Amino acid sequence: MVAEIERDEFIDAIAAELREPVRLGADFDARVMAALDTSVIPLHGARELPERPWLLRKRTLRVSPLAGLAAAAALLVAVSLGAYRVATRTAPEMIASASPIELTPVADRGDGLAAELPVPATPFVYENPDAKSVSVVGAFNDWDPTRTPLTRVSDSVWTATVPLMAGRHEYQFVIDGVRQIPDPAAAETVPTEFGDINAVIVVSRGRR
Amino acid sequence: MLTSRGLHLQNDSGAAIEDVSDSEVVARVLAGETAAYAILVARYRAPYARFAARMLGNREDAEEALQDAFVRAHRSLAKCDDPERFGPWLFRILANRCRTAGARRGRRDKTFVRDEIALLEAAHDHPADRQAWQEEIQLALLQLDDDQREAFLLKHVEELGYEEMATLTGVGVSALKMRVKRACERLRVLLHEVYGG
Repeated sequence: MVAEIERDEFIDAIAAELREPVRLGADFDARVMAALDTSVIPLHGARELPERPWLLRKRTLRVSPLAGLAAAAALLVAVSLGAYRVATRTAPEMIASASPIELTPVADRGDGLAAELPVPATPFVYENPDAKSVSVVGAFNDWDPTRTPLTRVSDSVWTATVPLMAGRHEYQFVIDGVRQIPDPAAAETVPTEFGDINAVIVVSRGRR
Repeated sequence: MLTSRGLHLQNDSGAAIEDVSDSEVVARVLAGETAAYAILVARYRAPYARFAARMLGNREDAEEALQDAFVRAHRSLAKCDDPERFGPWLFRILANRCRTAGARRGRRDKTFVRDEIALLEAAHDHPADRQAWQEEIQLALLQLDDDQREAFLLKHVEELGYEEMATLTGVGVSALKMRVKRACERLRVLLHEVYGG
C-alpha cells in the first residue's frame, strides 16, 4: 500500500490554478440538445405496448419460389398502373387530394422561396428561475410572443423546440410577456433597427 | 466531494443548481420529455468541462468530448442502472471519451487552456506572469501519462477521495495512490525545472 501523498503548498498551488473554470461556448447546451437522438428514447408507455389485435399481429408467410415470382409480377403490374394514374392526373387534382400537411412558418430567406423543409426540433434553452413565462419570438413566428412558449423543465431551465429552415434566424426571448431580451447564451447577436439586440441562431442543413 | 450529482455542482455563475434529483430528471427523459435533459446538461457541464479541458489540454477538444459524452449518455440512458448516480455514470463516459480523444490526437499536438476571463479576474501580480505559469502547469500536466493525469486531477483538482475515485475509474485504490504519487513527483520535477523552485 502506498502512503497517501501529503499535500504541500506546491501541489496545492498547481491544483488551485487547475481549478480555474473553463468556459464553454455560450451555445453549448443548445448544441448538445440539438445533437440528441430522440428516436432512441421510447415515448411514455412505449415499453409496454398492448398486444395487437388478431388482424394486425405479425405473421410469417411461407411462399414457394414459383408463387413468389407470380406475386412479384402482380406487384410490378399494380405499381405500374398506379404510377400511370398519378402521372396522368392534373395538378389541381393532386393538390385537392393531398394530405393536409401543415408546415411551420419557415425562414425568410429574402428570395421568396421556401423549397426546403424545416429542420425539426431546433432547441432553445433559457435559464431563469424567476420568470413566470418565457416565449421565443423571431421571423419564424412573426415575432408573436403567444405562438412559441418555452416549457419550464426545472426550477430555472426553460426549453422549446422549433422547426426552422436552414439559415440564420434572429430571435429574442420574451419574459413574462413584457420583457424582451436577446438569448444571453447566443453565440452571436446583432443590433436591430429599433436600437435593441437580437440573438442569432444558425441552423445548418440537417442539424445545427 | 463526489455526490450523486457528481463533482462540484454549480453553474457558470457559481449559483447552486436547483434541487431536482438526477433520478427524477432521468425518469422524465425516459418518459419522453427530452427537453428535461437540458437540466442535466446545465448541471454537469461546468465541472466536467474543467476536467475534460485539463485532460485534453484545450477547450475545443474538451467541448467536443463533453458534447459527445452527453449525447452518448442520452443514447444509453435506459442502461443507466442507478439514475440517482447519473453524474458518476456520465463521468465514466466522459473519461473514456477523453482517453480516446487523447490517444487519437497523440502527444505532439499540445495546446494550452487559456481562459482570458479567469485570468483577468485572478489576483496575480501581473497577468502575463500568471498566464505563463498556467501554461507551464498545463504543459507539465500533458507530459504525464493519461492515467497519472486523470488520477491527479481527480485527487487534487476535483478533490475526490480515493474510494470515490475507485468507483469512478474502476481502478483499485492502491493503484490510484501510486498514480497520484508519481504524478506529483513528476510535476514537481517538471515545474521545478522551469522555475527552479
